[in-house]
Amino acid sequence: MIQPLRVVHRRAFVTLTLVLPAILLIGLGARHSHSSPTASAADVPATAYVVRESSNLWQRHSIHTKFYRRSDGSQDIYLVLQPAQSLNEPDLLLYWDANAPQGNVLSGEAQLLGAFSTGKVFHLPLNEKRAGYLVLFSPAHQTVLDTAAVEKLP
Amino acid sequence: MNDFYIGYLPKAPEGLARFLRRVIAALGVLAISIALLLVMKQMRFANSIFEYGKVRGFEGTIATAPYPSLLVERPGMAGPQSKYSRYLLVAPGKHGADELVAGFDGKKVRVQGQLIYREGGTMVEITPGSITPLDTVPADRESTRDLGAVTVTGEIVDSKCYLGVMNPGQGKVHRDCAARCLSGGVPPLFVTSNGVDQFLLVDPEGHALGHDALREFVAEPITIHGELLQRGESRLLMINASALTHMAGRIQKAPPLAERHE
Repeated sequence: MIQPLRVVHRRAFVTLTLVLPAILLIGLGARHSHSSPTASAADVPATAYVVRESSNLWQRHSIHTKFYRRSDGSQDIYLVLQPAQSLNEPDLLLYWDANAPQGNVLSGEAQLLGAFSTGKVFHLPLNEKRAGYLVLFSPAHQTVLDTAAVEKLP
Repeated sequence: MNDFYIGYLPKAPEGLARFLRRVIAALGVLAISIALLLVMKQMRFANSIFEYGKVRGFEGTIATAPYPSLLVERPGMAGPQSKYSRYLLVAPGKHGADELVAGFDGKKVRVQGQLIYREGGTMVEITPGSITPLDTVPADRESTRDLGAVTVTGEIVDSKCYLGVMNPGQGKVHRDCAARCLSGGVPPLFVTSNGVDQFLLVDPEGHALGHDALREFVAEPITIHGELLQRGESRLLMINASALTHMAGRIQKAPPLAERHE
């Protein structure tokens, strides 16, 4: 009586050893994921082409920066930023400025491009020099998060 | 494996002891592997911040509708961009800020509070009694643009926890907390399932929803249909809360107790 029972128990435990972890793994794989916003440059005009790109443009953060220009002869330049790591600052705004900011103070000529968002397309209001500074500024923290010097764009 | 274990003998049979040693070692390796797998497969915490205990000062114009907000003027030349950033306002604990900002609508003020932020959304938990009116020109009213009807799938969350006070501030594990926060007047937020879009939920007239209007639907996958509005850089989704239904396969509302006893 005891020997057959032990055989049954052994088989049951071996089976459970395989089945229970398998259920656990299937459960883990079937979980809903809470996605984070993903980068997408879908709003860049279809006729635009990249005129410059760099991952070393910004002083403190690794932010892949692409400049686009429309192929229809327009002088307009568009900009898309893809940070290597999420930039979690409150109310983060992107500015275009002819001069570099002094400490955490924006110059009076700084032009707001919009609220920063990964993969968002910004239109650069270029001056005659077609060069200047990109500035990430957080009004809530009153700090300049980062600055990028942009040399003359084509 | 024909060895027979007898509990009162000082030693187990050699063959059985060897087998057990191997099984125990294998189970140990398996347990460690599963533990490592579980740790590695955990969802990452959202990159959200609550600056608890760090009180800052803010200046802006109070807007009480649809939900209490502070319109903060953006420095520099705005051009075609919105001139103001909108920070949602809440009170400490699970409470909206309606009472704290009552009487300040449209006025420029200085307010103290703690920042809460996540992925572009910014909120301030006001320090009660810290609102001081200023003698300067308040912000212009932001224009509202109708973006048309949309159908979106995602989750209703309470904005305070989602933006940073709790982590995780969404999903089933956070459901009870979210229901209590919405009941307390914290603005409801709809987050699409891809995590990209956030909409403040309002009623079909663009007013704040009743505190308990969404309690039953919070923190579960849901598809809703509504009219999308753009105000500054905030997006509001006008919905009819009484027309919301649970998605197929979700738990249905239980019948009243009396019905069940019959």
